Amino acid sequence: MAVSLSKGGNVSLSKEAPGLSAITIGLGWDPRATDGQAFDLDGSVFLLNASGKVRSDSDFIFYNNKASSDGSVIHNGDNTTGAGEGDDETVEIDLSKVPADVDKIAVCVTIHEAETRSQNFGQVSKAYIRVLNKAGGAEIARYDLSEDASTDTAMIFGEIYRHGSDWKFKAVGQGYAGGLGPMAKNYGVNV
Amino acid sequence: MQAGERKTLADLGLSERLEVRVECDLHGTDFSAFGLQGGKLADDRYMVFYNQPRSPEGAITLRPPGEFTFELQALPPAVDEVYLTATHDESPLSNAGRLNVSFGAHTFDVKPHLKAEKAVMLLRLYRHSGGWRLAAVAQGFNGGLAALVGHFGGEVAETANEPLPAASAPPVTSPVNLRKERQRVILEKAEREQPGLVSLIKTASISLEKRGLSEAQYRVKLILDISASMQREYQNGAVQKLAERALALAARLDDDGEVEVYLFGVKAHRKGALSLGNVSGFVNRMGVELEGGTHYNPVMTMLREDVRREGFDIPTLVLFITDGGTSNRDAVVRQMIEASREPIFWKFMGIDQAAGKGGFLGGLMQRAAADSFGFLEKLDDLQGRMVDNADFFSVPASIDLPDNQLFDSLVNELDSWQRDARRAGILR
Repeated sequence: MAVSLSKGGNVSLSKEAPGLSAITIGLGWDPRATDGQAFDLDGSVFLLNASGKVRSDSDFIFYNNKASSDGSVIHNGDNTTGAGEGDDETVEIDLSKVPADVDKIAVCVTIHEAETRSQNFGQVSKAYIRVLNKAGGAEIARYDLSEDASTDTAMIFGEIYRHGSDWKFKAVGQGYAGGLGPMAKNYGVNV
Repeated sequence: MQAGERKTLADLGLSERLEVRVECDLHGTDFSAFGLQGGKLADDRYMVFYNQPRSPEGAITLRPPGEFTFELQALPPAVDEVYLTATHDESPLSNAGRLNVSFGAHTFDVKPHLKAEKAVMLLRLYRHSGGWRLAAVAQGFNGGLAALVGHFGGEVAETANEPLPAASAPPVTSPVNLRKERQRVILEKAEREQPGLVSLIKTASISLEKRGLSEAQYRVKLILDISASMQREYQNGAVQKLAERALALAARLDDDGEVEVYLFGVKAHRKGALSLGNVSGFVNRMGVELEGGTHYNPVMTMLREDVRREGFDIPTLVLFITDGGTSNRDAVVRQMIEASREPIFWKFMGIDQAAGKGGFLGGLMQRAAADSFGFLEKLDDLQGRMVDNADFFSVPASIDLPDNQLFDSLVNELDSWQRDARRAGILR
């Protein structure tokens, strides 16, 4: 039931998948077939308060900080080449465990050292990011990075935000100038 | 257009009938178009090149050397993508003064993206969501046409009448190519002689890749502390394990895949080269006699002499393993300042004997360690050097951190030093 969301479109997670309590963010790409430096895509998550900032640096969950302090977000590990079947990196978010003072969860994807390696999403084959219902694995939204973000090196894929007692997912799909560092800084992380 | 960019033909102001002109000033460069089906060259009539300048229905035509006309609407539906490529039998295409592709009002400058590729995919035209798109690619293969055809399915390489450059081709002149070949030989040798090292070599190469150093070349030298406090590390095999990891790093960085080993306590000692052939039991065979002091200065002098003799054409990575601070600190500081003009990067790894130790003795040890490592940190941040030529990290005495972390720490800052050293003219 993959809902194809256009930029800015949103979907109620609770309505889309009744009983949904946990989601998985999947990031996938093909390993580089040509000669040159590997493509290393990184998925990251920011837990944000009402003013759109992290409450502390530990709200920035990425390859070097694989779990939020409350256990609501678990990053299942860094894949540095894209080798392997299916999603190459996954991040699990247990919405029922997300603390009340977290208003919004931003899901981002960046290319590791994109600038020094002169890489962008368009050079990578079959790069995508998607949201799944953790139970059952049904796809809720997907973004094709290779085709639709070809000249970008970093992107805010989507935001999961509270709407009353529901959670909604908004497809942002917006490229971001600068890498993971500047992005984290923008969300209030000390980098 | 920039490399990686993907656009619909409509967005580029192009129709399905388009002309593409490739310009390259490197003599002997060939241009071809490959029509693929599901990523494979299933029908070699869709390989359009100087000997076959037209696909069967005329949807792809070549006017040599590099003018292509596409009638994409005339292509059989099964052909779902077309790659436009440039290849050279002998020379990396980066030897060209210019390699660019123009179509409609657009130009794609491929030259800045080239490294050692002898075959490069320039453009990709492909079906997507009911229309044709164009991608600016600029990726390729150091192995030339044979590697490219292999990428497109391989079978064609066996059956094609066109002879592919294979064993009969003259030896390549690019050092990068030779180096890749050398790395492959070292890895194969490891697979035969030291299978236990293979995964270490791969882990090391990931740490290098992360720093953008996958094609970097260094002489790797290992300096080991033989002061008395290191006794346990020699006895429990921790030093041997470190030596194996240094060798794994050298398998990726070093041209001959060997590591020159030095020992120091009060005096400095050369201990020959560590290699795949002699790594088993290497540390035991050295017959280390521990010494009652820690003097960095003599071994630094010895190493710098060796590097000068071997030549400054290739940089040197020094892995300097110690568990304590040095005597004669001023001399060491002077050495480091002088050595900052040389293509040597000094990686100090401090073994923290006090970590986790409690009680009065533990407290004393921790104070001593703080002092020693404080000095090493000072070396790391030392002023007056031409470039920052050193980095320091410490590990608890058990030295049981995961290999990927160890390799990450061992190559940390190597990339920034390399960049600074090149800028300062220390490194070519």
